[in-house]
Amino acid sequence: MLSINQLHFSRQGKSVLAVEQWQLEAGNFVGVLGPNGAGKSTFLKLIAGEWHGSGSVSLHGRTLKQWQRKELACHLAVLPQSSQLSLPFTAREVVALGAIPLTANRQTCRALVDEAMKRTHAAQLADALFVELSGGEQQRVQLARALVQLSQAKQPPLLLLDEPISAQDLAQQHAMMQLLRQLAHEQGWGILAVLHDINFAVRYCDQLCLLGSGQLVGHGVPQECINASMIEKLWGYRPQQILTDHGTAIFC
Amino acid sequence: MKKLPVTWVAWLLIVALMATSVVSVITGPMQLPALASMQTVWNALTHSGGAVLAQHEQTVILQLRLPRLLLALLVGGLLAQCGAVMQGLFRNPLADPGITGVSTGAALGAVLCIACLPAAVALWMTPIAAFIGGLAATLTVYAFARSATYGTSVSVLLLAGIALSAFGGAAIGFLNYAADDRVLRDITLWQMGSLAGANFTNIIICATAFLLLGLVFQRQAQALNALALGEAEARYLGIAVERLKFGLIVLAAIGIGVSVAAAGIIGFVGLVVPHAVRLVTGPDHRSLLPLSALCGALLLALADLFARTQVTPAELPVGLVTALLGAPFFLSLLMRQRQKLGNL
Repeated sequence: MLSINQLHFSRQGKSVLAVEQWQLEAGNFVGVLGPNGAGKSTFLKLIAGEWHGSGSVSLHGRTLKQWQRKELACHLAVLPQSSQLSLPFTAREVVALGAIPLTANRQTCRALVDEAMKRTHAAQLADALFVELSGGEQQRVQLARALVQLSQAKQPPLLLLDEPISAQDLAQQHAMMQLLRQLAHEQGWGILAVLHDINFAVRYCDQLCLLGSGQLVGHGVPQECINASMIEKLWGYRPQQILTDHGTAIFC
Repeated sequence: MKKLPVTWVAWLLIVALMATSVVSVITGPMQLPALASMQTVWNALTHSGGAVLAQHEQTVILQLRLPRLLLALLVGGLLAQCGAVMQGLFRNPLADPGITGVSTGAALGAVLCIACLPAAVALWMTPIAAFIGGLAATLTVYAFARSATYGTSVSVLLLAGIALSAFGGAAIGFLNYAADDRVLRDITLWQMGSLAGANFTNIIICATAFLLLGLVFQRQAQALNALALGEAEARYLGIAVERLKFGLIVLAAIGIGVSVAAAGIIGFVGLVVPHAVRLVTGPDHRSLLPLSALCGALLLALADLFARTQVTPAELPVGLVTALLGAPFFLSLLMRQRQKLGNL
């Protein structure tokens, strides 16, 4: 559904990101991993169309510019790392903003908002002011907003997330990763998330995409592309590897 | 204080507006019977005959009090709406309609006109000069803030607005300094704002602006809500952010220019009214914009009623009264509602 061709982006004459060719198929949960400054956020912003580089990014065979504004909004949502809300909206009102590009009446909207907040474990936050929520709660409210925004997509939508679990507690981290995987597997969404925790990525993602100094260093099934030497090469840290009872490796 | 239901607040404001309007028509330095005064307005509206008041008394009602009331309602509504839009657009609750330099630009245009033209010409040229000055200031500031690669930078816009306002303020100060006593007094009075110049022409102009801007703003209410999330987020929600910003900045400048041209500088309404409404019914622009219009109209009508009846036969500048009435009210709201203001 998402295909990237000869994508280059440079700032002040210095190349920041160069990805020759990469594809994301619908129904896949893909994690983007890499050290700080590897270009992960840049990668996401280029795909989202917030920044423009040379080369092409196309969604369902159409470049982002060929999509109509509203139609694109129904098929592509972005979850920011953190957000500053300038007005005192409640959490529920923030989630309801996701319905802006939709064509839905008031009742449908309310049902969509309720369901989305339930799925992201944010239902009990509905009447609280967004700015007074903790970072993790804000992320869950924002995810609910994205769920509403993509709820009427005609083709499988693409959800981009920048460190969605960074501020969650342990149980919520697992709940959120499970939800993302569910959205990919059961609803056929394409999900691309910048992650920091390698073990979480290996455990939940269908595929990984490894970035190092602006280059696509490796991509594929987690077990095949992540190993101790790859981690050492990318992050400059030699991890310990522990095998669980099921034979999967944990890096620490 | 919990948020109050929007319809409830709207009806309350409408009733208060009507009551204020009636009181405005029947009170003034000249004592006129209340019922007969209202009858006169009714007859004029329905074109029915049967004069209940003497000719000169009818003139007071229809040529002085009524136009003044209408202008107060329209200017108050315009200023409050433009203020609400500016605050939403700049993602800053402290933004006020003057922030892009539009007020100072308009004032400079008007002051130049009063200071440099013969009094007879200045009288009718002042509103036009004010309007042109305001629009020119906004476009100048916008030209600074606009760049092809990064879009419109709100902080550059605000800073350029401050710089331009300082420049305009200095220029006005210089003109004040150089002016003789009569001109100085004219300038000072004009800057304090007054609704005494109400006439058919400026009422029609303000009414047109009020209706047109009101419709356009209302259509963009959801887009302004989305903008509260951030410009990138609003773009992801399918909103043409650059077009929205340019359109709304120019429209708000027109709204403020028109009201400054008709009534001089009336501060405070544009800043305080949207805040007060937000604290009572919440930040959703779909209700904020119309309620701000109602509330601004009410505040200015009340202020003008106060301004022209308290020190009769003279009158106070209405701009001073809006600040005197509005500031304590705003402070009391602030005291009770600190936590609702968001991340200020």
